[in-house]
Amino acid sequence: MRAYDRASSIFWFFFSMIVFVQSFRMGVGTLSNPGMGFMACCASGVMAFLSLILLKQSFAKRKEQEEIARPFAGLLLGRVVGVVVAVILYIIFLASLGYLIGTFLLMAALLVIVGRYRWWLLILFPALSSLVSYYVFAKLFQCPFPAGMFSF
Amino acid sequence: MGFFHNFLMGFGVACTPANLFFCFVGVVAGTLVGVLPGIGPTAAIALLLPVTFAVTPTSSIIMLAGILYGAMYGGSTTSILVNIPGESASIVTCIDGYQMARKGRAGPALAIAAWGSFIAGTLSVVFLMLIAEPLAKIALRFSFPEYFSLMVAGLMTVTYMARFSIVKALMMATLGILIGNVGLDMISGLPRFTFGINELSDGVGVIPLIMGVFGLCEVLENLEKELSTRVTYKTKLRNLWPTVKDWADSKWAIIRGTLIGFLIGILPGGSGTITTFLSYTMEKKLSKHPEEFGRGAIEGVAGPESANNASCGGGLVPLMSLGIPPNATMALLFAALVIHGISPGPTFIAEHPDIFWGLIASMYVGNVMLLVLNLPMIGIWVQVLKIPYHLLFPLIVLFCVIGTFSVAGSIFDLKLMLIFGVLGYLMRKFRYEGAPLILAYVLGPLMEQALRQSLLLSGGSFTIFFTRPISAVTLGIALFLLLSTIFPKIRKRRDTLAELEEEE
Repeated sequence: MRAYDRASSIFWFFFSMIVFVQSFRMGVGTLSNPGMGFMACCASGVMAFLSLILLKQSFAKRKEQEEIARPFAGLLLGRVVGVVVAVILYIIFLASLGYLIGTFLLMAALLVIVGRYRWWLLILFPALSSLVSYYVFAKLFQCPFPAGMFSF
Repeated sequence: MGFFHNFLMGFGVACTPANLFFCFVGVVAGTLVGVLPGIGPTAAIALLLPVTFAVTPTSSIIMLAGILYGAMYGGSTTSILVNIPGESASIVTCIDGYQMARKGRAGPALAIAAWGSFIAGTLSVVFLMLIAEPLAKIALRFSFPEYFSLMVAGLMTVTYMARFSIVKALMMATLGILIGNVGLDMISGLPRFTFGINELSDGVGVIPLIMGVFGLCEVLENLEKELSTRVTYKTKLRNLWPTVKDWADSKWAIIRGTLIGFLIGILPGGSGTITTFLSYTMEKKLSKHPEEFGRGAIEGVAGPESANNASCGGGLVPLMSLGIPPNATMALLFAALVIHGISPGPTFIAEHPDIFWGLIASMYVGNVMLLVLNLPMIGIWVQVLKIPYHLLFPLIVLFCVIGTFSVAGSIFDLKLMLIFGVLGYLMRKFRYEGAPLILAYVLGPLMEQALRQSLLLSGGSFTIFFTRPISAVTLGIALFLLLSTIFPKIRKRRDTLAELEEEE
């Protein structure tokens, strides 16, 4: 975890520095009349300080104290990436495809990603879930789902 | 209006057909969530939050609270029968509950868990009823400095109770404050950190953030492992009623569990999980036969199950009387009320007695519903475990998508949900916790307002926080918590608790 802590602390340090500079640009005001960047300035300053403590801690840990397990070792990351990509594509094409078709494809893609499906399940499960959710949320709760280029 | 008048009025509100229906839906959904591993009550409340937009605030809060205490009931069933904790607050129940089941005593274990939960749930509602209103009256005297100090102390306690590094928990709290800063400034009305994106003018929505950090993130974390759907359930259920000896062995464990759960639940960061570990440890220490623990001691089931239910009532005290949610789940209930245009705080009970007393009464009703639901329907709840996760997870993703989109019909919110989902996943991998982030995000704008108004009042002097007694004491507590982590003994205890939770 040492290397990961080191990497994340450096990331958060630079992130907080960017926010710190931005909050100064917005105007921190004075102590008697704090400006709109005041809180962000304080919070980002504290975050920068904490990230430095974390960085120092990561160097202070002895190697024998370090855990053998790594956060991403031995995991099925392909599935995780697959789900993220499927949702990204869904967001991109939702407006043009419409809710029903978009959701049908998303649900089918999610089943494919896990790899446990039969052909009838690949059609029935996405069709049922998209139709039932459409009926409940669009018809009963009047949720304004995009109709898409096919107008449904 | 007197206490009993309010109490009866609450029952009048809770017993309308609509509220009874939503209470029932809440406790059934909660039991389901408790039974199913891989989705906790916080994620479930987040997923069902958008469903409540179309109903009244009272029905909404009744249903969401039902999910919370329903999950505490449901978790025990699978812990006892198949050694699988449905949610983290039932981990401890596995230790002795499963051993009892292996010895053919699953019935008494389930019954004492249900009765313990019922007694603790009911008693905690009585305590909530007695404490919340007087506390709110005291809190009416609080001004901006007191509120700021209380929120700082609350955040500090949540980070103190974090499972992993306190430094990381504090960093997440500051990140939450920064996310809460996005949007129009409350005083000048000018945009902050919006980067020219119009949708960010109203700030980062609570729903995309919660759906991402608790909903989508949960799915991603579960998918990275091999999916197991095999459930071996061979235990035969008989004698679904504890014997006189079981009651005698359990009665003090239930009482102690209730008190621990309620008192720890009031504290910021005092989750149901922590209370179960504390209750179990206490029962083992006080027991005349500690060697029985781990081999099927009924006190090891009765105490923790009572504690996790009582913590729900405890958590509602600071939320309802001070407007300060003590943990991430309560932050969701806070958000649900805010979405309906209601601000929890010292004036909440006086301004919305129907919601407060309706919720109290619904919790009595809900506890009875759970008792009736849980014991006779145990077989059905176990069957629920057989739903394969590869069919469950697409539905959770779909709920996240619909829930996020339905708030404002905005595709931008879906993008935010995805970003926070990935961020939440990476946070878990790098051992940063989500609870301080959510709590700080909810409290951030209130903290900012309190800080800026306090400094305006004092003419820019920070001494205002130390010259007012309540503010000084709460800040002192916050400072003590922060400094106490330096002491090796306290740090060791925190680490042991974290290790125990992780091992399970």
